[in-house]
Formats: sequence, structure tokens, C-alpha cells
Amino acid sequence: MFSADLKRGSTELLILALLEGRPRHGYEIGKLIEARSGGRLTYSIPSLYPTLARLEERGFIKGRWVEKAGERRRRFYQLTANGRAALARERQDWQDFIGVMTDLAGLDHA
Amino acid sequence: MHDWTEFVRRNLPAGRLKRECEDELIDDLAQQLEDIYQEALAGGASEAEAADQAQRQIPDWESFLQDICTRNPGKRQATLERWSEQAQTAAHAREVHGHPLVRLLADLRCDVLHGIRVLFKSPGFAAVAILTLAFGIGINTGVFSIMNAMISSPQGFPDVERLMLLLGTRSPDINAGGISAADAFDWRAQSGSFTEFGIFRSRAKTWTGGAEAMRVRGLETTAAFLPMLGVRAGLGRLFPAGGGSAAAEPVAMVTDNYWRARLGADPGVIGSTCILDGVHHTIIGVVEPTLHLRRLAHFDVDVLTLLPTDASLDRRDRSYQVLARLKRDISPAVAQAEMDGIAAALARIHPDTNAGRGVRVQSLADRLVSPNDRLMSAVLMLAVAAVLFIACINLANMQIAKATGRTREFAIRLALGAGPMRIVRQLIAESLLLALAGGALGFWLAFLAVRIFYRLMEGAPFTLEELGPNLPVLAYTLGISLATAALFGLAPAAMLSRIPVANAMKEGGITGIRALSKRRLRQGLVVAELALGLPLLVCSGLAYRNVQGLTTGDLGFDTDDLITMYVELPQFRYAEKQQWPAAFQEMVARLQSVPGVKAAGGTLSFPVGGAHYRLAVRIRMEGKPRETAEPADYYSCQPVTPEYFRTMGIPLLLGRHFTEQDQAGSLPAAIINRQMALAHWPDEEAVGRRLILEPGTDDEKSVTIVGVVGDSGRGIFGEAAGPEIYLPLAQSPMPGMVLVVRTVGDPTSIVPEFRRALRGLDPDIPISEVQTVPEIVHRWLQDDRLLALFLAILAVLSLVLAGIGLYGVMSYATSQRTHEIGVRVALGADRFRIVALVIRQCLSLSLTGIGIGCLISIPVALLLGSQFYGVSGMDPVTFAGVSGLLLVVGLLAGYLPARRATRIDPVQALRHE
Repeated sequence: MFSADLKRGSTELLILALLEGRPRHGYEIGKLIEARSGGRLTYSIPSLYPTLARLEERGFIKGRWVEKAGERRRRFYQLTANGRAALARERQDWQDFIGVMTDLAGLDHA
Repeated sequence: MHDWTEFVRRNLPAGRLKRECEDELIDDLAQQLEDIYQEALAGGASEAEAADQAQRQIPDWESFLQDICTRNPGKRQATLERWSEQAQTAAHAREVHGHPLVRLLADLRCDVLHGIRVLFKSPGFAAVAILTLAFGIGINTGVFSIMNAMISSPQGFPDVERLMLLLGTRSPDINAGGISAADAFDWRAQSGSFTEFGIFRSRAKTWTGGAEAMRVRGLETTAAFLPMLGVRAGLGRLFPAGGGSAAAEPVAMVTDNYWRARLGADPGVIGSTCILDGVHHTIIGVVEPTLHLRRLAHFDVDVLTLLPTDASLDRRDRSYQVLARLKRDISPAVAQAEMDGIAAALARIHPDTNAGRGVRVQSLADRLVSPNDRLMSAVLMLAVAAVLFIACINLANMQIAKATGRTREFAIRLALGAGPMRIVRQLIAESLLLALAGGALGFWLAFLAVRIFYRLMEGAPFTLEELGPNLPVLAYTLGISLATAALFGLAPAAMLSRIPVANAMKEGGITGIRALSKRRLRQGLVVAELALGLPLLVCSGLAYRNVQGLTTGDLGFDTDDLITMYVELPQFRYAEKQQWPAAFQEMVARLQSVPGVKAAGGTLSFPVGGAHYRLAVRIRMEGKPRETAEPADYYSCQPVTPEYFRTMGIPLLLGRHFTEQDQAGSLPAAIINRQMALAHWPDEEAVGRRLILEPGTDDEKSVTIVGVVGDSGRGIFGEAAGPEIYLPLAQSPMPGMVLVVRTVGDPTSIVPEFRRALRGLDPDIPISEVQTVPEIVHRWLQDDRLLALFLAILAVLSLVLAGIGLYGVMSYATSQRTHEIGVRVALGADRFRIVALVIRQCLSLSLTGIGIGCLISIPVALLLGSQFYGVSGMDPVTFAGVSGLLLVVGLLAGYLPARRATRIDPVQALRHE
């Protein structure tokens, strides 16, 4: 629906925002984005996975293996303090960006 | 049903990632694909469609892996490795969003259960470890509970921060302590800094009217005193406020101890009368059991009486003390400034008695627990900490040795995917179990030990209840148990968690550099153990030699067949000074007439064991101006009867003894000891010189030295006799004397005769403290002996622990050399060479430890030696003795493995390889 370039730039913000409330595992994150965007945004494993790895590497999120009886173990992610700060920054950036785009590109509020 | 793990494994390009990282990645991807597949099925897709949907998720495996790996290969790799560790950590967590604490507890439970299984598998090791720890922790807990009780003993006083002692001072820096009651009453009337004022003094009294006259330990107080201490009447009532006037009927209280020991705990004593110093007193109450009186008076009080408030009060009689409570908003400094002003005003009004007299406001808590007490506590705590540290080293050593046997176990667990942290935690859990078990046992041991110790300690300033076990002690035990676990558990844990899996899995176990470094570590630990043990041994040796030196050293008089007793003339019968010398002369004469008595005499205080009372006088030489008012100008001055020196066996070096002719009216005479003669007339004749004495309360007088005697006795800390001046009793009358009697044979059997002889003179004279010289010395050295005993226990513990540690290391080292020794034996080495081989290694470890230990010991010994008078800190006998002892233990620890080595069968040893 949206171009890959547009998506790539926004994935980090989306993941961080989704982890704000509680820890989630990778697949759940993908499904949530899809569900909440009404199917207009979808992420496949190859697009989500490296981003998660990168966010963890930068210390924004922290992964943890959790095992449930009768299931394979899953890797859950949770927001770190750094991640929370990054999320706030990113939100502000996007807000500013959208503001600028509204002015410059003649976007209209719906 | 699809096997997604297999699918991912098949598609993921192999060999790009570390094995374990790859496994993690496969697991995670497989789970996600499974989710997609299941969801598709649930959404109504057929199995084939669902599988297809999942399989299409990762269209290009190559670029997917590239994406993960190439961005930052090193770092990514590290991240994945971290995953693998964390995977293990989470293995037991049951709930996704469970609280971290819940997960931790679940892990802990698993670790603990495993730990218990491991410990039960080697009960011998567990028992030794727990016992070692129990002794180490127990001794620490015991000392802590005593120190804690000691340091916190002032806390029992109500509102102790505001309780101040007002101490008298003489010229700026001399702390005279006591003050006169008249001054105290003036202070009370004039000062505005205090809410309450308690004046008291200790005064022995004669209790008559019973079967036998008794000397009781009395405290005279104002009515406010007991309520200030928060002390209540257990029976009857306290002194009435405003009591103590001459018109009021004299009243007394007895302490709980005295009431139980002497009055049969009879409640009927309330309202009855007793005769104290010849005056009838009505007993109005029994003081509840308390240690506060002992803490303030430094002895166990028997009887309390009211201080007369309207007696004519002599400002020279400075036998009183003042306890005062600061007002809420007044600081001690403000109170001090006010008291300085009041003292200065009193000095102007009463220049003859109060010139140069001041007041020092000191907090009661500081007075009761001095900085020196705190230092001594710290030193003792350090000593016991050293023992615990040695115990920890031993256990660390044992853990390392034991862990060697478990290398394969850990390697297998690592290979199966356990993270290093997991292994470390497992080992720490085992250590914790040992430490807590040892701590619990140690706590119990300490509980028993301090009770025994309390019994040995006379006049402890705290109760058995205050010794605990209480919360601080429990917290302390728990704390050191945990610290111990960290100390002895971490080194082996750190070492084992780094096992290279492949090496460990081989039959030979760890080899090469790692084994070497481990051996070095263990040897280093043993050397540390020996080096720490030596100072403890030195301290113990010094303490023992101190007691030995004080006991057997020359006291300057003949200690055999000598008995002493203290007699104080009741003031109500002997109010006049002039009566005193005659009374004592008569007593001495009566004692001399008892069959079996060689000689008898009297002195103000016995020269050993701490004086009852000494006169301190300032002297100056006639014709010379007074020197500065240094404390060193004060000399101990002893009134004695003429027979005293002969009875004691103190030699007369020059001049003559006192005689019956040295009477009140005749020329004032003095005898000095050798120290005094050497100090003032090193090259001249002392006899015939004149001294001017300025005693505290009397007018100054000039005395002529008529003789010089040998030095005798020791100071309260065991220091050598200082300069002394002796005066004839007839010229310096005293109401209380120590009578000394030399007998033919054992003096204790004639004691009833002595009592009868003295009672024949006057039944109201109380006789107390009948004791032989060995008894005096025993009591005098009680604290030193306790210290020596305590240090000996520490030293033996550390010696045993060090021996065990060294034995363990040597056994292991020898077993590692089985092959080498086998070869040597096969090549013809005899038993002696084999033993020498092992012993040499052991000797080098022992000597290194002893060398370092000696270096550590030197400052410790110097510090301790400065407190001892029976031995010098750098006592060569002690140093040589304890080094030798440690060496013997070291050699013994090496000899046993050496002997085992000689029995190695070369054929067996070689085949083993």
C-alpha cells in the first residue's frame, strides 16, 4: 500500500510505540501493526527482524527468551529507558516533520 | 503438521553464524512461521494454503541472513550470543508477563534444589565446609554481639543524648573528676542549662546489727538521681523529693542483688531499720534490677542513702559526681560556656578552695564508651574477621578442588546450551546454601559461647538479655554469611564458567595453562592463609607471654604464704584521725600473736592488682622552686605500719625502717623506693634529704627521707613500679588499711583465727577481701587471661584451617604428579628423594607464608605490645615460637601426601597414563 521507502523510515517508531505499553514478541508486533492500520501497513519477517535486532543493538529495546508450556520459546522485547527517550524524540521529530510537510506540500487535515 | 524448525534449518544458509546463535535464530523464526501457519489455518485456509503462506514469508533467505549479519557483523554476533545466554535464563519462567521477581524466585528454587542434591552427593565435603564456616561465622557473631552490647549499653539510659557528666578539672588540663557537694549545689542553683541535677558519690559503709559487721558498697545520692536514670523501685518506693534534710528521718534503699543475696529476698525488709555507719536508717525500698548503677559507679552497689542537703559542706571534699540533663534547646557547648562562667565566679568567691578549678561537660555516652573501647572493639573485630577470611580461603580452595571433578558436568551443561551465567549462579547457589547452613550453626554456637563468656566476665556493663540474640546480631550473622558465600563462591565460579567446552570434554580434563594458573591460584590462597594466620598466632603468643611474664615476673616481694585483708574503721566509732594508727597497731599486734604467723603489717594499698586507694601528692625538693604543674609531678604515696616492709620481704637498701618512734609529734619521716631515689638523686645519697609534700586536702608538710627500699609491685595494667613514697601510718593516719600477714605454711587455714583475733578488738570492724597473693594476681590478670584465652582460640582455629588448606593443596599437587613420581621411582629414586620432592614444595609455600606473615605481624605486634607490660611487642620467643609452630604444621600437612607418594606403584602410575 505504502512505498517500501516510506515504511522503512517509520518502522522504528512503530515498534517502539507498540512496545511502550508492554513487552511483545516479534510476530505479535507485525500482527498488531497490520491490525491497527486496517491492513494498510504490513511487515514481513524479513523487514521486521533486522529492525528489532538493530533496536536491541542500540539498547532501545531488550529481548528476553520466554518459554511457555507446550510451545517453542519466543523472544519477547521490552522498551528500555533509552528506548523510551528515543520514542519521545522520534515522536517529536515526526510531529515536526508532518507539520512541515503540511505547510510545504499543501497537505490538508482530513 | 509442518516441522518449521526443519524448514528453517533447511533454508537458512549454514555456517555464517556461531552454532548456538544459529540455533537461537532457527528457533525464533520457526515459532513465527508456526504462528503464521496456525493463524492461516484458523482463518479457514487449507493446510497446503497455510503452509504456503508461511513459507512465502521469507522469500530470499540469503539476503535475509545478509541483512542480519552484514550490517555490523561483530556486534550482531555479540547480540546473538547474548540471546543464547538469556535463553537459558528464561528456561524456567512460566509466565510471559510474570514479575521479574517471580521469575528470579523460580530460578532460585531450581538452583537451590540442585544445590542441595549436589551437597548431599558429597556429604563429607559439605560437613567440613559447614563446620568451618560455623566456627568462622560463630566467632564473628559472638564477638559482634558482645561489642554491640558494650557499645550500645549507654542506650539503656532514658534520653541518653542529653545526659551529661559534669567533671571537675584542676588547672586547665588536669581532669580531677570529682567535685565538692557545695560546688555541685551552687552549680545546680546557678546554671540554667539543665533540667535535672543528680549528685552522687560512692562510699563504702559498715552495716551492723546483723550477726557480723559487713562492709557494704554504698551510693549516696540526691533524690533526683534515680528517676534521672529511669530506675524504679521494684518494691517499696524511691527517695522522696526534697528528702535529705537533717530533720528528716534517715532512709535507705537496697539493690535487688543485695536484697536477694543478703536479705533473703524478704519483702518484710521494707519499713525495717538497718544500722549504717552507726546511724539507724529505715529501708524504704528495693531498687529494681538494673545495670545503670554499675555503669555509673563502676561497681555493684549494695545500699543507697540520701545525700544530706544541709550538712556543712567542705569544698575540699571532692568525692562527689554530678549527672545533669541538658535542656532540649541547649547544646553541650553552650552549657560548657555557662559552667565555665559559674566556675570562674565560684573561684573568685572561694579563692582558697576553688582557684584553678573548672568544670568539663561530657556526654555520659562518651564517658561510658570511650574512643579506646571503640578502637579495641575494632581490633578484635578485625582479628575475628581474619579468621573468617582464612576459613573462606580454605573453602574457596576446597571448592576449586571439588570443581575440578565437576569440570565435565559443567562442560556438558555448557554444551547443552547453559550460559556461563547459569553456571555461575548455580555455583553461587551452592555456596549460599553452605554459607547459610554454616551461619545458622555458627549463630547457635555464638549463642552458647557468649553465655559462657558472660559468666567468665565479672562486672560486664551489660545484661545477658542485651547480648542477644537480637535483631542487629541476627542481621550481622546473615550479612557475613552472605558476604562469606560471595568470598568463597565467586572465584571458583568465575574460573569454571570459562571452561573451554571441547577441552573439558576430553578424558584428561583441564590441562595446560589453565591448570597451571589454577594451581598457582590455590597456592597463592594457601600462602595468604598462612600469612594471615601468623599475626593471629603472634597476638595469641604475646597475650600468653604477657600473662606469663606478669605472673612469674619478680614482683619485688616474697609472694609465698602471704595473705591480705582489707579493714576499714567504721567512722561512727573512729571519728577522730588520732584513733586510727593506734587501732591498726593493735590489730597488727593481735595478728602477730596468732600461732603460725611470722609477721604482720599494714599498708594503704597492696602493691599488686590495682590499688584501693592511693594518695597522690605533688612534691618539691626543699630549697627548689615548685616545678610546673605537670601530672608527672604527682607521686604515689603510701602510709604503712613499721612492720610492713619486713612482712612483705621488701629489702631495705639504705637507711632505716620506720619504728615505733616515728609518731605524730616526732620528725616527719619518709622512705622512698629505688625508682624514686634513681629519679631524683641518681648519683647522690638520698637518705637525709628533705621533700615537701602537697597532698590534695592536707596542708603541705616537709618530710625527711630516712631509708630507701626495693621496688615492689606493679601498676594496674602491669606496668613496672614507679617512684613511690612511704610514710609512717602514725604521721599520716588512714581509716582503711590492707593488712598483710606472713604465715608458716598455708595461710588460708588460719583465716578464722585472724577474724577471731580482730573481732576480739571490736566486733563492729568489718573485714573484707581476705585473699592470698595468687588470688589477687589471678583476679588482677583476669582480663588479660581472658584476652589470651580468646586469642588462643582464634589462633588454634586459624592454625587448623591453614593446616587443612595446605594439606588439601599438597594432596592435590602430589596426585597431579603421580605419573612423574612413578617415572622417578621406576628410574630408581628412593623413598627419601620422593619425600624430599614433595616436602620441598610444601616448605617453599610455608616459608613464603611465614615470611609475609612476619612482615604483617610486626606492626600488629608493636601495637599490641604497647598495651602489654609483661612482654615486649617484638618478643623474639613469640615470633620464633609461632613461626616454628606454623612450620611444623606446614611440614605435617606436606608429610602425609609425601608418604602417600612413596607408596605409588610405578607400574600402576605409568599404565595410568
